[in-house]
Amino acid sequence: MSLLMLRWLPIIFLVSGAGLFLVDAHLWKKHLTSVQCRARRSRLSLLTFTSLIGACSALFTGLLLEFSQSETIAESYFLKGFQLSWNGLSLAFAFGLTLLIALAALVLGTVRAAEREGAVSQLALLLLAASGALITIDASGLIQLYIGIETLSIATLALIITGAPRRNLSEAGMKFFLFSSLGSAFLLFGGALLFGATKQVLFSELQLSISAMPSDSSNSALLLLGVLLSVCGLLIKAGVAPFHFAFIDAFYGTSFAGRISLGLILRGSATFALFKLQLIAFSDPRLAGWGVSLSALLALSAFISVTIGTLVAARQIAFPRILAWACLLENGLVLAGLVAVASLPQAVVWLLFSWFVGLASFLGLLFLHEYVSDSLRSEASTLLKPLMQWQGLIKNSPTAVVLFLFFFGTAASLPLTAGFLPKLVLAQAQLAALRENFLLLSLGGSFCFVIAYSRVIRAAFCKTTGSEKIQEKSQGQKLIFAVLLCLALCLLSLSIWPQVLIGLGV
Amino acid sequence: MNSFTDTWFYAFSISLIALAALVLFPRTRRVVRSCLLLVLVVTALFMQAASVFAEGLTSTTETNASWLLVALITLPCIAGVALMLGSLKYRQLCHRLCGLFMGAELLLATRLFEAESADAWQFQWIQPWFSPLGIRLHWAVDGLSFWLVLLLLLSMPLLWLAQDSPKKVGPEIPGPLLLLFQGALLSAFLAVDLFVQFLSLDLAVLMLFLMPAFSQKRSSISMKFLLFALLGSMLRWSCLSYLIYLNAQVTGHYSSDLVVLSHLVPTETASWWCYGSLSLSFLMLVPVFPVHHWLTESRQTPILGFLVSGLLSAFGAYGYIRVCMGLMPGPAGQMSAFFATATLLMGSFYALLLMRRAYSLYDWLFFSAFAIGGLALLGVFAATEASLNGTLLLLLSRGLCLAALAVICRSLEARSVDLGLKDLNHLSIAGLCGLPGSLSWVAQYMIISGTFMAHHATLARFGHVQGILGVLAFFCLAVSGVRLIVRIGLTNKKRSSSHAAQRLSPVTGRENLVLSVLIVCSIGCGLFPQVMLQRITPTISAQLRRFTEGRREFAQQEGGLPARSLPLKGTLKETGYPKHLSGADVIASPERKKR
Repeated sequence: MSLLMLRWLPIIFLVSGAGLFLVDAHLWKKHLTSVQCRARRSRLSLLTFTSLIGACSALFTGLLLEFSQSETIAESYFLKGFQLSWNGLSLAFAFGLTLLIALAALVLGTVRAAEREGAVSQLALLLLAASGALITIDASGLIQLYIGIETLSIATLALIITGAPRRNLSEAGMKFFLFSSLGSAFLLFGGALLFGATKQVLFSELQLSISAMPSDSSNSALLLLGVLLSVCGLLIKAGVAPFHFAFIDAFYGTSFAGRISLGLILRGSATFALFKLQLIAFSDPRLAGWGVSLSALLALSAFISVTIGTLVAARQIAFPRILAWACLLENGLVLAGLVAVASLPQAVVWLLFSWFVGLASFLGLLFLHEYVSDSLRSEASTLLKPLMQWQGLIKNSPTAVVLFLFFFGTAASLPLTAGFLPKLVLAQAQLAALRENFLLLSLGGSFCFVIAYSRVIRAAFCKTTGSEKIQEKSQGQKLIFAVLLCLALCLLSLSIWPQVLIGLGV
Repeated sequence: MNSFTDTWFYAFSISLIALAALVLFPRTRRVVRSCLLLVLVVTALFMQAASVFAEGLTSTTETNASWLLVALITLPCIAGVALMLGSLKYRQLCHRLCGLFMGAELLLATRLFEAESADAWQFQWIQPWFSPLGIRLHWAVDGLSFWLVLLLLLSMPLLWLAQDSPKKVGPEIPGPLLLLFQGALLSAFLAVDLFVQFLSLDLAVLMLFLMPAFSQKRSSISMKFLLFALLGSMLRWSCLSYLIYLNAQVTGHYSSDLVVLSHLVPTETASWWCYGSLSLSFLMLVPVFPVHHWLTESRQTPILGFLVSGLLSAFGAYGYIRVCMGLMPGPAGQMSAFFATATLLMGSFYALLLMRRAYSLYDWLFFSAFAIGGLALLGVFAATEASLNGTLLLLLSRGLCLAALAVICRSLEARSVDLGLKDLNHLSIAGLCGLPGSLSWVAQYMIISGTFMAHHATLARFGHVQGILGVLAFFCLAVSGVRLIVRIGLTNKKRSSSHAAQRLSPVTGRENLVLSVLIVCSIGCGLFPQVMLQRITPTISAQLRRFTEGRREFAQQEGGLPARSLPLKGTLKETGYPKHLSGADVIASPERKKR
């Protein structure tokens, strides 16, 4: 099977999954009994999960084929053992992200889908969002990038609207719609200007054109504006400061499915696209000389994200809001890493791995929130008494607290977690690139995470309990717990045997 | 294994197995217990005979079992995790099994006595862990860590024994967490790779953070403790990260090994920065003024208090000697005089003043630990052979005394006695802190004499002043101990406001056993300090020699020389390293030159 075929196979899987959903919806448009409803729901969950696992398998096959290719990014100490091209990196990241989405779909299909009207359609939207993410991650040119990110944005918007409680529906959906449209417009307009200046749409050719362009060219102004707009567009999509307002409100206002799509799929894909754009297309050092220092822009954004994320998260009293602001903090740290290793593309693998671990821990925390929220009777009580369900959790469910500490530590890249070793290698890369200030920012970021989550930690270890004892009886809760344990075990094994990572590419 | 060690090992193992059997099966009939004991004794004797037979068959005797340390570290970790899962259903059984594992650890640890009394890594075990940064799982024991490891391994089963109270209030700290803490701290003591040491210490701190939450008392957790621990961890990480990078720049190879990094001579500015972060992170654990705030918040339960102020703070002082003085000897030597004064005046005397205001036993216990910590550091900063020996002995004696006090507090608390100082009359053991004949007294004497001699070494002309201050501090400490005895033991009971003392139930056999072992250890070691010193002294002498050489190298750096690496000298401690590390040339860092 050729690589070209493999590239499209996952997307075919996902789109066909979504199509089967529509057929199913058409066939079963009648009134159904509760037993039929349950049967349909489980069938559709299985369909979603199978589609995503199929996509994963295709991506994994592609990854194995990629290992046999001779093309490498660089041969350096940081990358000792890794032999991956950009194509391989995209495949690896897409594989990981799809696996995470599959886990999310598994939980969504069995737990939350049953509770709300029309929630079954969220599974189809999730498949659509996943296909958009794959197109975005695999993008090798501006057009493919735009199509992918637009597909993803539309699916996310639909997920936010369908998942939100009625009173938050208009606010969250409208804010996201406005900002997302602005981001898309920036990306489209920036892409058009770039094409106007260079007559190229592919990233690699863009880089060549920019390198070959004379410094006094009349197109340089167009080029600079195009670069700025396209980067800003991706920053808006990823929800990085100072374009984070829609992200925070939409994240808080929506439900589990919307949060998965917004915080995991859109954030992950847009940031990956930003990596690609920054490291392939806009890697020419002359861009800085012409007045636009992308590094300075990203560094500023990173600094604002970390500062605002920490300060505001520490003052929040609801877990989803803390999580949303912590996402902003995490985005800032990843951007800081990107700026620091921009001159050392060898360390990109470690940056991506660290980013992926961050996404996985975010998913773990989100699952944990769902698990803990189930102990409360209604959504209203959660809104009225924030963090109530976390109070005295150590007494009700100590395992949940240990899992929380583990995922929180992984997100913060604390020692003994899977996020720590990549951070250490990145720190070496930052020192090698003489970027000590970014090293300090990364170090401080880990500490900032503790401050951001301090309220939750304090509540979890509180003496008095705010919620009833979690009985772990419902099937949904058991499933979430099993998925959480699997995720934690995978991350834990990576932290205990880091040599596995090195062995992957050999 | 020689015949004396062999006999001692098996005699000890039999008694320990018997003790474990008694603890595990307390309610079985006497006949059954006797039969069980008989079977165990016969098994042990058979094992001994088999080992003698096996030794006769092989021509060479295995003197350095490298698996021993791995077994000592991994056994409690694996058992802790397994028993933690098991305790969800079988709580009581798992708690008892924890005691069995701790006993087995102590039994295994007796083989450590096979180590020679020389400045060399014993029972060395090396395995690559993360090759891009040259991190290896490298564990070994030497004279510096030997007795501290034994203190840890001895105190844990004793504390576990003391946890069960007559009123069955349940264990203060779950056994599996104690096991995990033991494994983690043991790994930190034995790790030669600084990265592994860093990770192990963080795991131990995490266990300490979780212990109050999982205990029966459900005491609230201290956020301040977590923040201080994380700050220390961050400082260590940043310094270690820089040193690994610098070593790679200078030698071309990544390594986080203590011996390799100790041959690195950074620039003057970098040395001061690294020393600042490393010393702060380790002194925070001791703790010293003004980074001692977390200690006051962690005194919630007696056994947790012992783990923090007896073991973790011992690691702080050990880490300073091993890492700070080993890696950054120049700045460490220059700052000694200042730190010695600061820890004495602002640490020990401040703590002594606080002890006067102590209204409960907990307060007295923690403030005395704080004061003794400052005095132990005086020996470290004086940096003479006698003072460093004295510091290690003082750490050991403090560990033993605090363990005994923790056991007493626990037993009183289990009898629902208020721990106000007015009502207690069982605390004459507190007087052991500094009485002639005890280990503390020997240690204090050595520290003071070492400090007076230090005017040739680090303290320069301040040596006599520090010595006099030290004498004063020890005197105040002794007075404080006597005052406590007078307040508790010699007070007329009729004048006491409450009559809690009369209501106390008799001391149980288990408590008697634990206290007896601790008192015998304290007095026995005080009467025969040479047994301990003969293992400590060679390592301390070598460490001081390296310290002096390092100060000389640092003096050359003050002229603005670039970072460089000294070649390994092929000493006993430098075995087990790749060849490329032994021939490191003096190469300047190109990037640093540019800057």
